[in-house]
Amino acid sequence: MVVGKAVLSGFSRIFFNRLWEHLKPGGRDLGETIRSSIDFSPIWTIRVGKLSIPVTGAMVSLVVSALILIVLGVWLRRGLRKHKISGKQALAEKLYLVVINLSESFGMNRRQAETVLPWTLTLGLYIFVSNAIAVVQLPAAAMNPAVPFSLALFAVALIIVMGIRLLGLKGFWYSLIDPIPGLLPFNLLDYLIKPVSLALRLFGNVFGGFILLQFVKTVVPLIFPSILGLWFDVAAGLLQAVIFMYLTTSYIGEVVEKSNNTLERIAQKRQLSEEKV
Amino acid sequence: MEKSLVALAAALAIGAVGSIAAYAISKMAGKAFDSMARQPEVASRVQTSLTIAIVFIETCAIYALVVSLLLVFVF
Repeated sequence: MVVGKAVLSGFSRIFFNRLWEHLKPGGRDLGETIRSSIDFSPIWTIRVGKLSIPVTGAMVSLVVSALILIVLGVWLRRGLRKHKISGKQALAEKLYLVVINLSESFGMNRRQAETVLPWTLTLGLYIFVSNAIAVVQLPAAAMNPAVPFSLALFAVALIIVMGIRLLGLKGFWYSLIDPIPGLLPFNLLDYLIKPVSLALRLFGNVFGGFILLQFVKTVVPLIFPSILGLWFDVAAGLLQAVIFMYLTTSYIGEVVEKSNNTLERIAQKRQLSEEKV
Repeated sequence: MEKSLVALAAALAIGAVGSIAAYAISKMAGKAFDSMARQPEVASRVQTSLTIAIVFIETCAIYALVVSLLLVFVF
């Protein structure tokens, strides 16, 4: 009993000392905190035989967010009905319709929008969850510049693959020679610039929000960081995810639209030459 | 001395680009709301293109943010 009391008091003393060190205003060195958080070296390594796989903080957040999304997807998928739909089915249908309407407003038809939807919606949800995971003190995945760059490369690959799948190789070629064939190099250059701008936008936003949050944590360690964290982690993360999805959809829509423009131009030319004859 | 110059450069980079980007966004949003008030039936289309344009302007500001962060933490 006495021993238990002594252990408890010792434990509580250590606990409150730690808590006070954590909450003391100005108790942390801001530069040191940020410098340690932009150190992207692996936390631990998994060894499989001779192969050693380094695991970084971003990889942990990505895997956790993927697991969350899988659970969410299975939960939303269960018990779909045609009549008397439940609340979660209404939510899923609403999400579906929003993305379909978005795709249609960028010049795709319904069939094309339904082909593109699973990819873009997954991309958006994945980015949102992996950013919002910072609320539970895991590092936001997009803080490691490798993550936004790989996501952006995936988005550009998606644009090219979807362009070919929706329009065929010939249609995709037509999208490259809009408005005149002489602009082909610039249209190709577009595919280099798009991933860089997509990646830097995501990285800059998440990283800037993180640094501001660390600053607030140093100056006012109580209450404020958790309120601001809701904005910078959840709301800004959602905004960036929506923008990423939006831009990817609009780029795919652009390919469709450009291809249609070239087709129209060719048809007009043919009509003109027939009139001359 | 060198450290303070780097800090000044970072502050100038983000300050100049941020103020200009904010001015550009304000001007564009003002015009867009004006046209929405004049023609409420095209409001949704105006809103879509407004969002895209704001994103592009914001990207410039974020480039400046990245540059100034690099200046502060790398040098």
